[in-house]
Amino acid sequence: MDKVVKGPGGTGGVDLHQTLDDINSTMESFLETASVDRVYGAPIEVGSTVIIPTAENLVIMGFGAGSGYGSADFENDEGDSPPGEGTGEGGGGGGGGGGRTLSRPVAVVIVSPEGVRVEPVADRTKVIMAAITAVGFVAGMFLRMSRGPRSL
Amino acid sequence: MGKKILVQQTSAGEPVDVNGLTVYPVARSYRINMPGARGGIVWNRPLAVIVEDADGTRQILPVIDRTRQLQIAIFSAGFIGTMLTWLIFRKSRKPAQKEK
Repeated sequence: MDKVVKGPGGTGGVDLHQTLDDINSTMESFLETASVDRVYGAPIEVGSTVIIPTAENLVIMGFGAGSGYGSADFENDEGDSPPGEGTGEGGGGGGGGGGRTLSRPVAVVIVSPEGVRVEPVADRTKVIMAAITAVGFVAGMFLRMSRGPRSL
Repeated sequence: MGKKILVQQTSAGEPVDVNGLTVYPVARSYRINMPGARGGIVWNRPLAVIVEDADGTRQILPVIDRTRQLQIAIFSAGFIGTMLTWLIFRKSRKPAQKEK
């Protein structure tokens, strides 16, 4: 039995370079999120006052790609298998990725004839959720401790 | 040389001219590169605005994240409250157990 396994010959059918290019272009877009323009919005003019909204953003992203290729030539097979000759080749590849962007307002910059001030924006929902969680922890501990030691 | 795992960057944006004042927005970003993988995390937040008047006097106004401050304060209070509850009950329980 004579088995020859060839390396990648460029006939795999899956263009890995294209996949990598796509990933690289997406990565460049991802890195662009670390810019000032993503944090400060376009100035809004209201009469003689200009308002600049600001936001915090968090971008999480991940990619992966891989490919494989194999080839085999069979000539003059001996032994239990019937003699014959043939070629076989195969290739495969794939990639995947995912990401998420989280953004929330932080403050507004107000530029008026009186001067410049930064007004913070408080997200009530987040604050209330934090308060409920904190009270829940205290109440949970209170209930746990007031029950007394558990007996088996 | 490999990529840095944590990259911090502070950058200023395009200035905005209003009422004779020039406002420079400043942001800070943290980028975490996953070693051995494509991707990562970018956290980008406003840091401050620099206000320059016609005289060239500069003033730095920090951008305060009130939501984050409140969250930290509430979670800290919750943690302290939980620990105090545990300590108070633990102390009051110990003498009762000793009597038995």
